[in-house]
Amino acid sequence: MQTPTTSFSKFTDLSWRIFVRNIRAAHRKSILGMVWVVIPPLVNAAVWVLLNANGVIQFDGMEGVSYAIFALSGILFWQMFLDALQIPFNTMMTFEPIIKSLYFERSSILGATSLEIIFNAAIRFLILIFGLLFYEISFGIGSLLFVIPVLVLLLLGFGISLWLLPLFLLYKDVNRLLGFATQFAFFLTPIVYQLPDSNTWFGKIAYWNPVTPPLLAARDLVLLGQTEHWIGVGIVFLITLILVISGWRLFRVTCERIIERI
Amino acid sequence: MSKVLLQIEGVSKKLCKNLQLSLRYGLKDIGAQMFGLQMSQDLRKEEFWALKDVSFDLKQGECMALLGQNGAGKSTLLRLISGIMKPDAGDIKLYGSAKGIVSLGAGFDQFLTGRENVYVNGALLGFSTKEIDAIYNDIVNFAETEEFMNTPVKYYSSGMTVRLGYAIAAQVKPDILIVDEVLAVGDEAFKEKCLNRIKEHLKIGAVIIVAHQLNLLKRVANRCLILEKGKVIEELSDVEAGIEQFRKRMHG
Repeated sequence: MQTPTTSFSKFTDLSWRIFVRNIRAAHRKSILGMVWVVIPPLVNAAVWVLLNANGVIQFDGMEGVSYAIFALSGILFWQMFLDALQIPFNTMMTFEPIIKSLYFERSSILGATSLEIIFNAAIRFLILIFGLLFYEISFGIGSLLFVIPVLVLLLLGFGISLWLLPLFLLYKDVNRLLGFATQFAFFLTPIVYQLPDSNTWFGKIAYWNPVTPPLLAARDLVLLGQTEHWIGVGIVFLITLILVISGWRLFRVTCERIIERI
Repeated sequence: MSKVLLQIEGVSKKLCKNLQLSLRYGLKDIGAQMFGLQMSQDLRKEEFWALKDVSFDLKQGECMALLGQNGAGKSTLLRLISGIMKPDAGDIKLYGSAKGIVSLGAGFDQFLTGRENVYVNGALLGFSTKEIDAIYNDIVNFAETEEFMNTPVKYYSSGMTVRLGYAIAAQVKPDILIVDEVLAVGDEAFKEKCLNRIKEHLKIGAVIIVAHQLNLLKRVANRCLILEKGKVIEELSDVEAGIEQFRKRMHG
C-alpha cells in the first residue's frame, strides 16, 4: 500500500495554506468580513442584559462585576467552544469535492481546522478585551492563567467534533441535530446565569456538564483573577485529551472509507 | 530494464447502488475498521464490483491508456491508484509517487484568484510555498492565463480552469502522472501541448491516461487496458489494435 511521504514541515505548510485559503474564501464575498464575528455575541449579550435589567434573570453579583460583562464574557467563551465544535464540520464540507478528486495528507485539514479555531478564539478574545476596558475590570498577571481553561474548552469542542465527524459526513441529520443540541446546551450551561445550587436537578446538569468547569474557570480568571474550578478543569482536560487523540486517529483510519460513500 | 513504478495485484472494489444502504454499510465498515475487524468480502445487497480482480504493472516510460465505456471502472481505478480510495481486496504497490487530478480544477475555490489557487492547489499536491514560487511562471505560461491570474477563478471559462489545473498537475512531475479527460477540454493548440508534455514525462516516469478521443490516445499511449464492467478484458501493447477492438465492442 502506498505511504505518502509527508514530513512534518509539509504538514504544517499545507495546514497553513488551507487555513489561509479558508479565511480568505470566507471573507471575500462579504463587505463586513470580520464584523460578523463581533456582532452576534454583542447582540446576544445585549438581550440578556435587557432581561436582567427587567428582573427576568437574577444575578446576585460577583464583587465589582456588572451583569453585562459577566454575560458577555460567558457568551464569548461559549462561542469559542462552539467554533471548536463547528469549524471542523464546515471545513470538511468545503473540502468534500477536493478530497474526492485529489489525494493529499488528510490530517492537514485537521491542522488547518485547529489554526482556524485558535484564530477565531483570538478575535473573540479581542472583543472581550474591549469589554473589560469598558467596564474597567483590572486584568492582573493571575488572570492570564485563563488561557489554560480556554485551551481545554477548545480541545473539548474539537474532540467532540472529531468523534461526530464520520457521522456528520454520512448523515445530514447530524448537522440539524447539532444545531438543535447546541441551542439547548446554551441554556443548560451556566453562561448567562450563575452556577445554580447543586441540589436541584438543574444544578446537577450544570454541574456535570463538561463545558461548565473550563468555561466558569476562564470567566472567573478574567473577571476576578482566581477560580475554584481547577479540579474540574483538570478532569475535563484528561477526558478531552483522550477524545482528541482517539478522534484524530478515527479520522485518519476512516477518512477514505467515508469519502467513497458520500 | 526500466523500473517498475506500480504493481497492481488482484485489486477489487465494491460500490453500492443505493445511497441509504451505502451510508449504512459505510457506518458498519468504519466500525469494523476501528476495531481492526476483517471486512466482508462478499457483495451485500445492492452492491456490485466496480473493479474485480484487476492486475497489471506499469514501468517507467510506459503510457497506459485506459479504455472503457462509462461505468467500466476507469475513474475508480484512478482513484485507487492515487490513494483517494482504498481497495476492498488486492494490493496496490507504488514505488514512487502517483499524482494527478481526477477531476481538474476541483481544488479551486471560485472566489479566490488564479494566483491564490495555484498556491493552494500546489500545496495540496505536495509543494512547499518556496517550491511553488520557483515553478509559478512555468505554470502560468503553460496554462496561458497570464492576464487572469488576479481574477477570481469564478470568472474563468471552463477551458481556462482546466488548463490551469492541468498546468499545476503537470508541474508536479510525479513518478506516475494521472491524466483524466484533460484532452476533452481545451483547444487544439493546448491539446498539442499536453501531448508533448506527456511524451516528455515518459522520460522520467509513467503516465496513465483516460480519454474518449481515441485518436489522440494513439499518439502517446504505448499500452492499453480495456475495462468492461470492472474487469480487465484485454491488455495490449499494440494501442492501435486495442482501440480497434474497443470500437468493435462498443458498437456491438
